[in-house]
Amino acid sequence: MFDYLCTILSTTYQVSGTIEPTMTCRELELDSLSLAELGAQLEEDLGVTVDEDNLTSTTTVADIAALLEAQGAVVPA
Amino acid sequence: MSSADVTGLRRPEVVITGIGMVTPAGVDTATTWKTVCAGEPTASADPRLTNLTVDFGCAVTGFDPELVLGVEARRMDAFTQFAVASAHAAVADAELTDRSWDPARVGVVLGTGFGGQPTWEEQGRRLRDRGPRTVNPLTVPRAISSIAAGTVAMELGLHGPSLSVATACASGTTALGYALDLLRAGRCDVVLAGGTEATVTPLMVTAFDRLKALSRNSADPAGASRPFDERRNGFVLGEGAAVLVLERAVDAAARGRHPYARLMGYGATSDAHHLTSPAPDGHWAELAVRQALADAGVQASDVALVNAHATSTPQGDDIEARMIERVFGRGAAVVSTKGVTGHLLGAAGAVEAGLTALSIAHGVVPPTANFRSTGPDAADIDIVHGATRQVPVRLAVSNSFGFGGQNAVVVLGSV
Repeated sequence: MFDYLCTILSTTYQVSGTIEPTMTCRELELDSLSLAELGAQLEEDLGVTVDEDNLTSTTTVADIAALLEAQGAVVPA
Repeated sequence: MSSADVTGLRRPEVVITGIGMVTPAGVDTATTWKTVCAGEPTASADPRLTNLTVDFGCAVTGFDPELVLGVEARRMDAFTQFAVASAHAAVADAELTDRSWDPARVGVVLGTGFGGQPTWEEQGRRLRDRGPRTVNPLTVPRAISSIAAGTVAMELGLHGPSLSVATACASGTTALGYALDLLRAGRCDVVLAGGTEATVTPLMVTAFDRLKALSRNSADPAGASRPFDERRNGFVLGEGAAVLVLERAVDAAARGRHPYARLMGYGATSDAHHLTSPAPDGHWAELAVRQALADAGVQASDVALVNAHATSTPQGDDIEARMIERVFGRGAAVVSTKGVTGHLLGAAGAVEAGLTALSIAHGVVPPTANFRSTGPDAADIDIVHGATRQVPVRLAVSNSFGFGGQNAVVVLGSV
């Protein structure tokens, strides 16, 4: 799941450099519009629910991965 | 620094130095011009319209937003994608670079009738079918009508005024008129002006058809848009954009850039008559033409070409043809390029002004596709059809008339 998130973040959201699990959305320079878009994209692609409270500037990549896995999300083929 | 003068004296001469287009006739200006000159209709069955009463339109084909605009394209509705691609192409064509201008003195004026219509429709369907949670958070910034102009400014790093103008099917021409005024008033040094529309959608086609505005010639889409022809029975929806680079002639000369044409005059009036029908006597449309000629300081008898609004509707084309006959007689060649492109609504005036500038630059008038004859009792005007006409075009007029009776006309001239 972490690798999947890294791929989305570096392509669609153009996050540059190495992405570490402990990095927060703020450190990845994702603004509020990007966070809203990312949440909607994950819901659409993975069939999960991503509440606004669970995806904020202080959320880490590992937090997102854990949130998705807890809902049984499977990386799309 | 500006020589602008509201009395009309010492106004700066304004020229067109760059043209960018994404149209059903081609995803760049050269291809569009070639298709228009060949008189090849672009209307065809459209998979987006399957099972509708009118299942065809003039679509932009071969345009890859991600390829042209990169990953940010996903945040843009098609109407913005067309506009941004056209703006980039126009600026490159004008040979403007970041060092050519002061970004705070560059404006963007884009006409659009409907804005991000595909986005509104898609998100409306999601709300109805799958609930509010599935509505994209970017719906508003993708679809509001001002966002195409805002995004052009963003993508090109421009800090002058940027705005959308809406006068229905006259929007593209209205944008040119306001851009001309911004330059004459000295508010801007350069204006990117044009129009954009993305209305080949299920709801728009259905809604226009419910008004009985569209041709229902599904059996022969390519023959459906036939401006001025006696068998015309409605227009064909098109999509796309055109952006023109407008600047003062002295600045273009200083850069060594030879313009396509001059933008010499603008006229605008309102019929104040009816929601959808033009005033039957064409009086106010005629006044817009005469205002534009006066603004340019020229005579109707000097005009060699009229790019007509003529959309292929029975009533609209007839009223315009009679108006053209009154003003120009048979003295000016007349073309409607909508036989090829269909009707691009808020982008139409910009595309047609661009094509008119190319007629001036190349001395070539494209044919009115699908036109054969006007039938009895029609106005006596010189409709170019069958093939291109090679003729020097020193002065030309481009007409646009919108639902609601909004009339806008520009006059272009050779350099």
